[in-house]
Amino acid sequence: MLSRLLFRSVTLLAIGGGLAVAHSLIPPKVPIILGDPKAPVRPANPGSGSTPAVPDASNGAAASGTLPATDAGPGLNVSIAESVALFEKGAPFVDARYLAEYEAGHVLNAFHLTVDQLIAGKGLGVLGMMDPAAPVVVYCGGGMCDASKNLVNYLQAAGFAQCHIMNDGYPAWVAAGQPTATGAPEIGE
Amino acid sequence: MSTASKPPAALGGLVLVLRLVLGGLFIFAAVMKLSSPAAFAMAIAAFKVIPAHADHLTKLSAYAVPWIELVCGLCLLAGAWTRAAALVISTLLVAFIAMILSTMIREMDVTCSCFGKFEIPCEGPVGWCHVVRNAVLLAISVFVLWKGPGSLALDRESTR
Repeated sequence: MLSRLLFRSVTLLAIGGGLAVAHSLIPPKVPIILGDPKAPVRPANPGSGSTPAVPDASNGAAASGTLPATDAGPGLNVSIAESVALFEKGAPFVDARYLAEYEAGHVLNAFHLTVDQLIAGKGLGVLGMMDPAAPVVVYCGGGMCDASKNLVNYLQAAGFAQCHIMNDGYPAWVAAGQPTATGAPEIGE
Repeated sequence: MSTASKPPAALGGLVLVLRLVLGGLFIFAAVMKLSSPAAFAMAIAAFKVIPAHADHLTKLSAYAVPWIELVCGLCLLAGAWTRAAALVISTLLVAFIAMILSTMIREMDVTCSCFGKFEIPCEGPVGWCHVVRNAVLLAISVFVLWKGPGSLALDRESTR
């Protein structure tokens, strides 16, 4: 009785596992990207970047102004001070937290974009507002939050070469007294 | 003269309802996960129970878990190999509960992705709601494992 139960259970696991292996051989529509993001890839020629497409304030985007195609300063993970410098240069900020958290408070003019949106084929409006060759700052809740890191993986796969992660997250931005806003994102899904 | 008595019809009906509910729920969960393996793989990775250098295991799990759920869910619906399917699902639920408790102890902010983009009935990061929900499902699964297939099953073994 028990041996038959175990045999059948193992058989069910084997059937499920076999189907899983067969399924995994089919290339997924959305690539599975895991692990730590690699360092941003900078253009070889700093002067050859495309025209920055910094979104205007009427769309709830980052402050207007032109950005260089490259930024020799900060690395992948940036401090609050470095984030402020990028903010003042007009770099777009992307909030990778839950929508409710964004609505409760976010970096002034930040976009809202999550990996879930990208996987669902949404968020293209936000991507279209940002220049892949210019710096982009992504943040979430700081600490153990992985949302920004996961989003950067996707942004880099989508060609955004200068992604930065504001490591300490939104709470540290607020604590530093930097400008914030509340409410729903103006750029929809 | 046999002393064995037939199980009451009410018990057979109860087990039937429970395995239909459990099977249906796991089929739904499997289909939602299989609709986006990338999302489920990232959800698994967020739990940080598989080492970062073993991404291949995370990817394999993203396919294996929903397919096993689907196979076992279909078995429960049909009443075929019911106890074996209930045993596998019980084992999965124990693992899920352990993973959720692990993230709670580590104070991690992760989403369940148990039903893909749907959260039934718990919303937001994993917490006690998810533990209780899975514990209820585990109790149902163990009950089916104990009592057998119930009414309208392909299995020939009887409910006891």
